[in-house]
Amino acid sequence: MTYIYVGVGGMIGSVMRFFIASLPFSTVHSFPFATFLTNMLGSFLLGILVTNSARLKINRHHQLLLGTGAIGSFTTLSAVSAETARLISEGEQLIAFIYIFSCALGGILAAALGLKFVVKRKEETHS
Amino acid sequence: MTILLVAAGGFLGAVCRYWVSIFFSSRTNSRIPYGTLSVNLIGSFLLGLLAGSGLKGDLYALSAIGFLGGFTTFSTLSIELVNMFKHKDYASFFFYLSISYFGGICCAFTGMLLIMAG
Repeated sequence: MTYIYVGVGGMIGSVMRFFIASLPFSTVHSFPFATFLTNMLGSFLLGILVTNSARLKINRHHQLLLGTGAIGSFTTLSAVSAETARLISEGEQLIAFIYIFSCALGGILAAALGLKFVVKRKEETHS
Repeated sequence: MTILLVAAGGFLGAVCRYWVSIFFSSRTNSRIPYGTLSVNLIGSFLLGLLAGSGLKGDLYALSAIGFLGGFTTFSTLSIELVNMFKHKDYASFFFYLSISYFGGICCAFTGMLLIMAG
């Protein structure tokens, strides 16, 4: 049964990623901007989920749906690897280096920022 | 139509990733998350193969964008790296960081070169 939650989340995450990739700014000067944006956003959101799931009483099934399924599938490393390999093979070593460096550092910073983000429940915001 | 293929691939990719992570977490007790590492390196190699093969259209949407996109993950890797850094486990942090990114590129390159040579 848990597989259904992960799978449905995976469908949502993959379709969202596909949608962002189809936007006109998906590559800027051969820099794969869509993948970069998706991965930064996903790392930030997963940080928020990890920090707040206990406080907001998000149950295990919903964690699997949102975290493992949706955010896990929304973000991707295979595209980062293949895009970097393609950039190198096309002689774009500088863009490839900037891309992999900004993905690695940006992902860590986005996740760290998300992990610090405490979502307040309604009853707490008034107290 | 394409969007349905991406969704179907994403479903299968996420379920396979989940299965691999359960497989590793029940068998290994290491500071390195081998489940995430395995899906990312295998997925990078396979995407290299697909990208190098010149596959396009519906089959690419299902297998590359849907399945491999859903199978590999970036967000979990980022969270795991932050946790290693927070716990001052710098050796694991640098090992996991470099093997994920440089290993991923090498795997994708190997896949691309294999299919183009073959």
